[in-house]
Amino acid sequence: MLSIDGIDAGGAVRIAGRLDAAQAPTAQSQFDRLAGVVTLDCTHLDYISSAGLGVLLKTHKRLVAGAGALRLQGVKPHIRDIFEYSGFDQIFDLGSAG
Amino acid sequence: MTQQAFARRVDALAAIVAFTDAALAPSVLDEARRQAVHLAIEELFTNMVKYSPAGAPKIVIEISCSDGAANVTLIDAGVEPFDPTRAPAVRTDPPLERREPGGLGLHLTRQLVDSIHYEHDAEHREGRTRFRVDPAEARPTAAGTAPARGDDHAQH
Repeated sequence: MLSIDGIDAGGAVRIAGRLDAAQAPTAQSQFDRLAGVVTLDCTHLDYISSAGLGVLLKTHKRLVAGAGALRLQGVKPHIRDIFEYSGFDQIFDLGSAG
Repeated sequence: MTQQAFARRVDALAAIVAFTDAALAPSVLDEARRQAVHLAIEELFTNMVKYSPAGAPKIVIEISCSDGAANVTLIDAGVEPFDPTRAPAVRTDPPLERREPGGLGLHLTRQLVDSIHYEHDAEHREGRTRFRVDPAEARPTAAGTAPARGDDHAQH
């Protein structure tokens, strides 16, 4: 299961659960509504696959093109490893460890 | 050993997660290594779905736990050979403006599993991808610490 809260609230967006290939289209449709500099609270994100990474990358590129960014915080160590294996730790602000 | 067949659809992933969690219940793998099993299964399964020929049967997943490790086999019948262990290496160092979504699944799989092997039975047109995930303490790097980027330790 995946939950995303705070999309339209203007503060941090919270994501929880599993961001996998089955959930990626839903996540992308919600992230497409984001604008500016957005903090994504990943404290309760338990799992991410390459499909989920694709959602984050597409969103980050769109936001950066508009002088914004997608900043992550609270990333769990095993998910941080996935970012490092992918080289995404070099293109995302991962903040402090979760 | 537990085994189950899954429809060639991405929305089968929820059932695959439940099956995998149940199969891993007796294992000693920590959360990170369990998630490595989930990720490798998802990436291999979705790749098989993506390249499914018409009329191919369901994809069978087998999982067994022994000596603290998880041993997984995905059986993809009715297909031509595709060896995921020989997929081209991907570059993970381009800057943001040159990064595009996609292409990371098999790379991540090879990074996260401790061994991976592919065989194809031409007579029965059946591919079998086997991989093993060891407990964190059995890996060459410290638990929770990624090996150096590009350190692909897959066994071909």
